[in-house]
Amino acid sequence: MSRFNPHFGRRALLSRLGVSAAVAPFLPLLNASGAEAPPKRLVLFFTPHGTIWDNWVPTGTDSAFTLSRILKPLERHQKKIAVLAGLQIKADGVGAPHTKGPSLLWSASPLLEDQTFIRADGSGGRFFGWNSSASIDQVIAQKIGLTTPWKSLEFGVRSGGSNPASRMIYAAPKQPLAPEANPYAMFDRLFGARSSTVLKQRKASVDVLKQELDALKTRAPAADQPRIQAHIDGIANIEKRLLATPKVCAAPTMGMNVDAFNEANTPTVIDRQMELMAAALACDLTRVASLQYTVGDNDNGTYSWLGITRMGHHLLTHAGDSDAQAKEDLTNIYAWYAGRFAYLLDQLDAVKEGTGTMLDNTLVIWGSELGKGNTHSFQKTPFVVAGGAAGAMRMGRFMQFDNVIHNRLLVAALNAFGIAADTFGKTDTGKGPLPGLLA
Amino acid sequence: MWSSLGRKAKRFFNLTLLLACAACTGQVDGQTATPGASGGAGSGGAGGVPQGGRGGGGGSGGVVAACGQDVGPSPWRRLSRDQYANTVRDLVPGANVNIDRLSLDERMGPFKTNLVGNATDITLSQYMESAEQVAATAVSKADTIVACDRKTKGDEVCAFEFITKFGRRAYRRPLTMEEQARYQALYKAAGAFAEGVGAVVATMLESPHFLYLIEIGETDPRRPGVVRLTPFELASRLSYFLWSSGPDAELLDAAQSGQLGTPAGVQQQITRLLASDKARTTISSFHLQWLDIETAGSLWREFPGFDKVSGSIKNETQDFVNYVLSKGDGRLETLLTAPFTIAPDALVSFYGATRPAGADVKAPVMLDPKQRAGVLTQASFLAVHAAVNQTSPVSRGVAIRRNLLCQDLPDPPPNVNAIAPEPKAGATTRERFAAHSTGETCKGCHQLIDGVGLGFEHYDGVGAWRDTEEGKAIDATGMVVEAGDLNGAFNGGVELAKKMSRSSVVRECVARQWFRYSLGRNESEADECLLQRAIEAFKADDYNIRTLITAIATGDAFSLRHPGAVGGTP
Repeated sequence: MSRFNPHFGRRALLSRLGVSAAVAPFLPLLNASGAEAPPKRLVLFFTPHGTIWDNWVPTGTDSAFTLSRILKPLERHQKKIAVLAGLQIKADGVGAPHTKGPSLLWSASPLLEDQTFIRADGSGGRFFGWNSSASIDQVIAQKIGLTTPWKSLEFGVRSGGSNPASRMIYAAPKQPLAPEANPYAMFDRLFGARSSTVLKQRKASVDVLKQELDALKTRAPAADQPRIQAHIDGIANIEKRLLATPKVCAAPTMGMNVDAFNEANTPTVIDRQMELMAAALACDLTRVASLQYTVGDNDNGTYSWLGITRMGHHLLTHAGDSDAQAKEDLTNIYAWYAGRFAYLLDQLDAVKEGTGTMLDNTLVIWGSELGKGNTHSFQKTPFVVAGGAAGAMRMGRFMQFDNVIHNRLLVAALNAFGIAADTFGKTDTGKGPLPGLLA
Repeated sequence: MWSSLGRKAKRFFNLTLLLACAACTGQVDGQTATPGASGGAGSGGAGGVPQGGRGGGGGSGGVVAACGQDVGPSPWRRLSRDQYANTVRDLVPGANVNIDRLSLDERMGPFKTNLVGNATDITLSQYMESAEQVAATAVSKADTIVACDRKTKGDEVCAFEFITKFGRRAYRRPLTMEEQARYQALYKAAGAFAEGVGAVVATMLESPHFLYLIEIGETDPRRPGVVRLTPFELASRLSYFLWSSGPDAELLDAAQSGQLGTPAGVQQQITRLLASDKARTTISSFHLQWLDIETAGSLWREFPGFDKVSGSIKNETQDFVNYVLSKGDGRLETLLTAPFTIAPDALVSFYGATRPAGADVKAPVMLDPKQRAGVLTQASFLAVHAAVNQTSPVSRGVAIRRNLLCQDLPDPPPNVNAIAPEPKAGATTRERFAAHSTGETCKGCHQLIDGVGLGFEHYDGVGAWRDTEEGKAIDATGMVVEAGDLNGAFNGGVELAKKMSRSSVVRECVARQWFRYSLGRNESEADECLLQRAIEAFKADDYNIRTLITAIATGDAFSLRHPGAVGGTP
């Protein structure tokens, strides 16, 4: 089913919708006909190493609250967010805190206790494997992501190599999905012009690769078969996109290319990634996306654009509580994160859909892999949700909890997408959605 | 089989754990083996069962008799980013390979590899896009790359010959008839010569036969549970070890002719590969990863004048290690103690030395032997393992413990202020770090770490020599504990480097690290006997690293494969 009518030009659509390109940089072409309700989307947003609690937690009551110094950049979206204070990640399983935290955040399941990876964790453990379960976005994508060209899109910013500490998104146990850390590559992939010659050649290549992979799988020893099967599945996804009618999308403007792996370019790179994400969602290239900003295992980057160069972020988080300068630096870093999150919401909110915006139809969850750096505490892990998934969750809230495990939030997310569930993840010891969040 | 391996691993796991804890709490059990024998070091290492503590230092066991029939599990490796780029550039000279467009690799200890992570949607899209970019070069230079007389032979004959020849290099073995037919059809479907060649190149570079080191092997009735690699598979292991790239035509010929079926033939090829300029790639990449100094080319430090040399310190180490291993005597002792280096004028001055008039800039230049001894006293190692504005005894100590002694160290415990003390007027680094050696929480581990790292205090945060700090004379005394025959007091980096060059703990660790690098995986218990053989050969030739490399490449672990998965249950 193609909901896009290629006979409409962009300009015609703009005039029909009565918006200008300036306020709607990514035109939601799929809804041009207005015949269907806009789809619900899910976006996960990760920033590392928790927060400075005192400067993060808002003041006031559930519906009348003042945002903190760190969260102040979100003021313009205050009616469309819910600040969730007092959630904790139940940090079961092997691995050092920064190692297991990232995948616990979105999977709520421990790392496997196998010997795939080695590292002393300080409490006697030496071995750990990949995560033992799929992440929440992939579970939801199984329901809402099967009709789009991409089941999900994983964006990264200096998001690290292939190991459990820098992989958060899992399609299945032991099946981490590598994020794309280079926005220019992602742009070309999603929006680049491709001639019919290239497309024809891609199809021809894929035909050859499929035959080779099938033959190889029959010859592969049992231990290597999962890798070949994953490869086969990946090629099948590529083929699916090649065979589908291409969507015509309004592409974001990328500006001049910068080196995406040079720390100093981080502010540019994260913004380009978020613009791409919004454009991909607006064009219905995907309905599930995540952004992994650096890595849970030691974001030791400096923040030169904030004037913080004396040491990296991770080292700063290990300062003692009495180190006022470290606290100030960290507060500035986390406020910058909030600013970027607000920018992501800007992008989603700029796309008009039906009577609202794309943000209204999206559930955005911002989380971190732990609460506090110098103790590696998983309590008071900062969470903010936004959008509310087309009214499934009530926004404009400041909700306080007393050490409720974040599995409850993830269950609420499942429920918001119509997935009946009482529990999520292997660490879950309770049931039901986070009280009071769902509408 | 897995359950038995698992049980063995568990035994070793416990022993190593005991060592790690004992070492860091200072409650050392005199019964246990030297920590130097406990392998599996490194952070976030992927792949393989780390080797537990085999008693005794290396080189003390006499000649190892027949080893068992097993080797550690070797999953099919996917090429690392560097291997991918090197291979593509060899296949299509002038190709534009942008490895920043490929996902980062796994790390096995200090080494980059891809053993256990599956290639999923985005990774495969990256390969496809990269292959197309390379193919565009191939299209634009089709005649050069195909190198065939199209006028006489005709396009199709030339293209089919290209498929056979290019396919053999890309797949690192001859194509099967079926594969040839498939590519011939692909070529024809493209409709034009250059485009057809481009389609062949693009597809081959996306093929699993290109992206993975496919190892099926041949069964050997005398060795149940393992397979012997085919000559072509062995050729690939050899070339990725010694060149960090795929085999050339001559190595493939050696596989095809049966030369790689004999030890003498293998030896002959190893000698040829090591003598080639392409060995420089491996020698450089091993040392940059082992010493964890890959970032040395782009360091920013708050030390005046560092900007004049920062661009050359990584090259210095690469030139030095290549000189020692290729032109020099190849000995570990030279690598760790040589009082010379190869450096441009600005860096020579930085070291307080002068190049004799008229001397070749690429020739070794003598430094002050009281100040400099080998790689550990070069600016690359000293500056990477330091902070922006001061030295870091912790970073230097940890790098030596983990990467040169092959010891595991846990992360700092929670609830401690793990932040380095800021520089303070009137206080030396040693004074500022004193809390580490007095506080009970910190003392256990930091006597292991700082006792080594503080020995480098004569080198400032970028590796320049200093006699004083904050007006006080430098105290560069150190104390090594929990490191077998390296234990004891020393004064300064030069003395420590000399002691290390004679230490069985270091020698054994160097052998382990080369073994890991050679196979892109950690050693397991099943490899231990074969590893000891390589160490024996290393010892017998006065710890010549070239001999070690050859011993590893000719050893059974290198030509056998255990087709199990990494990641058994402990």
